[in-house]
Amino acid sequence: MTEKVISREKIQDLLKKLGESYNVFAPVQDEGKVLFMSLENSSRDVVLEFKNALKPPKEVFFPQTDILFTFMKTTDGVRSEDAQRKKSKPNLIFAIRPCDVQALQLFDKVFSGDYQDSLYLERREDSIIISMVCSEPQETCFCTSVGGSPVTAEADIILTDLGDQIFASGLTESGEKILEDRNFKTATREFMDKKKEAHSRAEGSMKEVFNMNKISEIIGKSFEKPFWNDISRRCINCYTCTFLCPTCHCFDITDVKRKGGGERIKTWDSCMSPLFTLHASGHNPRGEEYSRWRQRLFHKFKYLPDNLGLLGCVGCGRCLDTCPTGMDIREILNIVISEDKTKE
Amino acid sequence: MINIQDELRAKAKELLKKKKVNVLIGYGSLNENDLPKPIFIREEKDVDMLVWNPFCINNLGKYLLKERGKIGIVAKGCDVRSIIGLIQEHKIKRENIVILGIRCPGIIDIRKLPDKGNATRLHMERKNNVVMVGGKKMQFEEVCYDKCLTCKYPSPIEADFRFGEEVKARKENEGDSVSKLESMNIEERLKYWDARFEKCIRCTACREICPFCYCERCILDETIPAWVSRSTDLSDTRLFHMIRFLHVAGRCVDCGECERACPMELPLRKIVKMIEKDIKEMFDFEPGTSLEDIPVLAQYNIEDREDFIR
Amino acid sequence: MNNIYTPDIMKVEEIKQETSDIKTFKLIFDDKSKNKEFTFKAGQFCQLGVFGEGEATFCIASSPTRKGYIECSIKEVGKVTRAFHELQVGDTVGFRGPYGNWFPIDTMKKKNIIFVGGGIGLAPLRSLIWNCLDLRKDFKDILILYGARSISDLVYKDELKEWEERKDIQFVKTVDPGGEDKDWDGEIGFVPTILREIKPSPKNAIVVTCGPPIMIKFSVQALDAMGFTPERIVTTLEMRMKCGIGKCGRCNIGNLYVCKDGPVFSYDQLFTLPDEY
Ligand SMILES: Cc1cc2nc3c(=O)[nH]c(=O)nc-3n(C[C@H](O)[C@H](O)[C@H](O)COP(=O)(O)OP(=O)(O)OC[C@H]3O[C@@H](n4cnc5c(N)ncnc54)[C@H](O)[C@@H]3O)c2cc1C
Ligand code: SF4
Ligand code: SF4
Ligand code: SF4
Ligand code: SF4
Ligand code: SF4
Ligand code: FES
Repeated sequence: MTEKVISREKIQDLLKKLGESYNVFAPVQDEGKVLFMSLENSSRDVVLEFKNALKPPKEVFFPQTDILFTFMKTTDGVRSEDAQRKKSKPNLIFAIRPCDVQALQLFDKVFSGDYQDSLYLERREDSIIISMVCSEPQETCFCTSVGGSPVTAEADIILTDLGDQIFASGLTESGEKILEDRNFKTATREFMDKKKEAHSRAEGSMKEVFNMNKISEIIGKSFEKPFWNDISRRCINCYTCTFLCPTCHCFDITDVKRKGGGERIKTWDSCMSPLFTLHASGHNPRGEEYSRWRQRLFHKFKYLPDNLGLLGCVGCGRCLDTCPTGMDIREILNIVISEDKTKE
Repeated sequence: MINIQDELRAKAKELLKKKKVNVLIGYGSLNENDLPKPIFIREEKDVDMLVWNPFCINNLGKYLLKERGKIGIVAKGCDVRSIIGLIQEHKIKRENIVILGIRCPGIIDIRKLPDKGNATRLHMERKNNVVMVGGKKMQFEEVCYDKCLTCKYPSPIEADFRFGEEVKARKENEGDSVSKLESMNIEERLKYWDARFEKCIRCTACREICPFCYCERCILDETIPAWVSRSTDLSDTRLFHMIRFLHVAGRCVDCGECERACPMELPLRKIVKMIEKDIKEMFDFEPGTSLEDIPVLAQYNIEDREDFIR
Repeated sequence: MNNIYTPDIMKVEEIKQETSDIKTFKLIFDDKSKNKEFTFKAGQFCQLGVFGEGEATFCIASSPTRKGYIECSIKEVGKVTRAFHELQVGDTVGFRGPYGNWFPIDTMKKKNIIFVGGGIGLAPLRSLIWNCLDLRKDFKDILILYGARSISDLVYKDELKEWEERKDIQFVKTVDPGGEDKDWDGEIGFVPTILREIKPSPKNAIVVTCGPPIMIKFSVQALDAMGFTPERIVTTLEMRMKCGIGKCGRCNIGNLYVCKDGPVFSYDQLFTLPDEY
């Protein structure tokens, strides 16, 4: 592992250089919100002083609207053509938080396997992930309760903000290569100590919000329990919690007509919508509101662990932070856990 | 504040005990560190979960359509207007609901607090116009919802019981937001909105939270034909909002819930305000202000000066 | 890398009106070599699309033993299916597939096979029926029980006649009471009722069933009473699908995805799943 430091004011320069070989996505300010945006053709300044971006950077690899292919009417029928996905440069995400990196592990599994989703995988291919330690986790963060940590990530490089200097650990070969840039200086003992301190401070500020022990098993037993309707009553079934969730990956496939042809598109979709499972006959296996909340919880904490070996929640807290009706997944999990105990 | 909460609880207990209502929709918290959330109380023993504090923002009127039988509901001045609207539209019957109306001194917008008020918001005190948040003094006007600054009906127009002291209407002046937009030419305006609509993720929170978006089959979900495609292309998103706002024009009471619910923080109330102004100027109508009114776009007047309607 | 969402182009070779709202489409690949190479197994499905309208899920209703084309029977119920019903011979459609698992034809060999179908539910069974009939020697007794609400709702009428005339199988057709006319020569009664009357023996037998949920429910009850164990009753399920390949997330029942782990399930599997289909 290579350990270096880079001074804060050199970051813009570094990003500019990286921009020559990568399409760099980094956190920028947008009317008070922090969002990941491509720095290509953009003059926005990158912000490092942010808690987490409002929207996870999953859209770098899984855009909300993705054109699968275009088609045009010809004299002898229809011709379809693969959409041109210009990928002159590989993607690089800068300063992505550890929870969001963990979510990419799940995405990698979902979009590969028996059927390889080339749209995702091509964008992901050769991509570089530069993560940023959460020095000050938010009130809504609970990564440590779902097996994560604010200070470690399966990334190429992981950064720690030490004020004037930013500490950089290269975790992979490609990461170390980037650290060869002249902007990086060898980390002295002093910085290593400071980094350690920052990490233990960050970890120390996290508290366990529920007990993960046997969570899949406990949830698995709760399907028929009577409380689902009660606890999801105030949910209005919008798509906020799923669209903003770094691990949610469900999509729809529809056609858009254009003059002389059109395109088939893949767009984010959500299990919170009744339309998600509605049959043409009107029958709906998850027609009841509570059954959709149950699906969301089961998918994240039971089905995904069963099928792919990973939880579908990385504890980023976005869903509870943005839910317009104050639905809090931590609270619901705790109810499921405590209801399980009372029965025993 | 404390006494409103106590009074509310006492009334709620009484209503449930005497079976005057079978459910009471109010605000509740699991513990005192919690922001208030909509709750549905069906039993007397749960009444102590009911709270009232300056963070009770949700317009609970939306939930009236979800419940059956006799429903008690806690409603602020602005929320009451949407309830009146729903009664006018025959979605609910006045006699089936018991309104616990709150004379509302204004609600605090946590997005305006430092770090969304995390960790500090619960240690908040308010004295007249000064709020103390986490040891920091702030003017109420700086931290309350925009809509509260210009609220015309903070005291419920319609209610069965009223709580709190009389609150006077606040000044009618929405920081010139509408006039600024009106002074723009079409291109500038389109540019302004496109820059915002570009951020819209079409989560439909603005629709789902709106008390007047209650259609069982929304035209925005229609597939034959698909008026609005699932694409987040700007042209589709523009249309999404245009259609939705046209469908609530003349009914929207500026409860502000669409803007509050929007995770991408789109300034939707700017559209709300423009529509409100147009409806007032064109029809001299103010939605949700009288039980006797017929919604303006549902009225038919033989004397109408517009030719097309005859 | 191949784009798994790009369909193969197929042309409509033939259209047959089965009932007032069901048509059978015979489709061949534009790419002639694909017609030779293409294989699938009875029970699998595909995503068929009309460009500009979208894709929908249909089982392949023709038999894998009949090469060079596929057939799908499509009931008009919504956007995509309506677009299919407006197609003419020679028109272009998109095909993705074959997807999903298939009927356990290998374990069915040397056994008695009982087919219980209702309405358009005969479509997936038809693929397997012809598959079995084309390899008739491999199977013991074959019973086909097929019913619909009324005579006009029966699909594949020519083939029903063919099955009726065959000596090497038992074929029973029925319509719901009131669905008959004076010339009707089949049974009158609901499928589960007729099934009880026929009372097939569970010995060395496998049941394959598909049809409206209510028919399946009562047929399974009847079979249970006759001594058929759940693992010997096989069915195929419908869920709303989009990708067909276990990615889009909508077709799950519990942790099983009908598009990947199904659509063919045996009843001992179904009994372990949550009641969410
Ligand atoms: C395994 C399996 C096998 C099946 N086999 C058969 C069979 O053999 N025969 C048969 O008849 N049926 C079969 N079905 C059922 C068949 O799949 C459905 O009847 C069919 O999908 C209905 O499609 P539709 O488009 O007509 O219906 P609709 O309900 O109208 O679907 C609407 C379509 O529009 C799309 N859409 C939604 N919103 C928008 C928007 N804003 N813009 C554009 N598009 C939008 C939807 O995604 C959807 O594709 C099978 C189903 C399964 C799961
Ligand atoms: S939990 Fe909240 S964000 Fe999610 S669908 Fe319900 S109301 Fe919307
Ligand atoms: S479920 Fe909520 S907390 Fe968990 S990863 Fe998704 S948005 Fe974050
Ligand atoms: S929680 Fe719902 S939207 Fe998210 S991945 Fe699971 S099924 Fe899909
Ligand atoms: S709530 Fe906001 S992001 Fe969601 S659809 Fe409405 S405007 Fe778009
Ligand atoms: S459009 Fe917005 S402000 Fe108007 S009633 Fe609906 S949610 Fe309230
Ligand atoms: S159809 Fe997409 S997951 Fe099954």
